[in-house]
Amino acid sequence: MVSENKANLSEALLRSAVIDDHINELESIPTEEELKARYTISHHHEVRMKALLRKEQYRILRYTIFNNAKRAAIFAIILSALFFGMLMTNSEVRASVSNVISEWFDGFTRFIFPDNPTAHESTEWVIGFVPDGFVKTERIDIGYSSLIVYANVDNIEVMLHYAPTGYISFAVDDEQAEFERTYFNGIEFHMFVPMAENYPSRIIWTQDGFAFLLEGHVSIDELLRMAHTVTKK
Amino acid sequence: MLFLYLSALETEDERSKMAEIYETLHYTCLSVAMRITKNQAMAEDAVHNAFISLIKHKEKYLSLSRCKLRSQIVIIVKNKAIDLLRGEKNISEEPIDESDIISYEFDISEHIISKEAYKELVDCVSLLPEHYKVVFQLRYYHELSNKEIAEMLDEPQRHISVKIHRAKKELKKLLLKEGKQSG
Repeated sequence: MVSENKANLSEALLRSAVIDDHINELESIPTEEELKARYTISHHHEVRMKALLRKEQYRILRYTIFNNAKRAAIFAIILSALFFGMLMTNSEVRASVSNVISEWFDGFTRFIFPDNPTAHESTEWVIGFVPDGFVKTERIDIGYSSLIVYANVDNIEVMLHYAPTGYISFAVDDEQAEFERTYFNGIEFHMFVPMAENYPSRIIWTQDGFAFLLEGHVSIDELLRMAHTVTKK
Repeated sequence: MLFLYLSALETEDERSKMAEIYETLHYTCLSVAMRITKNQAMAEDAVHNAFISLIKHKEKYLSLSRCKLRSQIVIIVKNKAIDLLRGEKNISEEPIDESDIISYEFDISEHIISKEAYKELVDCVSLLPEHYKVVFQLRYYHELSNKEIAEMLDEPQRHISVKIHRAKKELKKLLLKEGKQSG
């Protein structure tokens, strides 16, 4: 106990002495003005000190710009996401933005559709308008995909192929066709207008979570009229 | 563009702090280094190295009061000057032996029984070699831990404990010598 007290006292005395000595040392240093008169700093030293401070400034500037740019980018992304989300609540905007992803390959166009969980796989679709002389001749259901065939007495066929968007894609030979887009009731129709005699007219669109391909050796206008009348049964 | 302007403002503020430190303490640092190196070229090198160290840890130093900042800069300069001088003279420090610490008890209380005796203690502290004074000043004036002192002086932590111990031993030797001379 006595020894511990002595050690504590010694430590306190030492601390006090070191502090006093250091204060004396700092106070003994002349002022900057007096030292400026005494010393002349070499040009080499001035230059390298300025370079050191400048280098540090640029480093800070780069770091600060990077951080601020990162913040600005994050803010812009959040703002864009909110704005885009707001826009997508509008059905016309949705139609114009389109759920169809088109990949253009040499010789044909491929349509891939994103999955739509709201589509009910067992929904049946029918065509409201059918050109004169055409009757329904066949219906084929394979899995979630359906094919309805209409034909006339001349064996000219019009086919409607449809399925929920996540289950189907269409590849269309577009070498002999001209591509056009049209809108009706907020739906975007992709039309392949034939340029050659034996080439069918084709229309592709998506509606209520389903993808449709309507094709046949009829005029594009008649085919489009048929497409406009496709409804749920 | 706004963030570029804001960036420039932030860096301008930091730059002006560093520039202010340089402009107000440059000759002080040179003078302190000259006391140790006795050579202006080496003293300028020590000041340059000290500012590099200062910039490296500037967040820590810029938050200090003016008084403490001046003191720490002086200590950093002294340390850099000692390092350069040691390198120039090819002197290496005495090997660290941690077993010294275990056996030694520091007790000076019996020597300090009057105001004059305390003054002798302060004088003995001022006579200590600079590399011992530096660790004492950082420990007792700035109240830094061994770890913080080690980071500042760029040395292993165990070296700091041993240096403080050796400094105390040296101080006691000086006190005894002073006591014999005056006694």
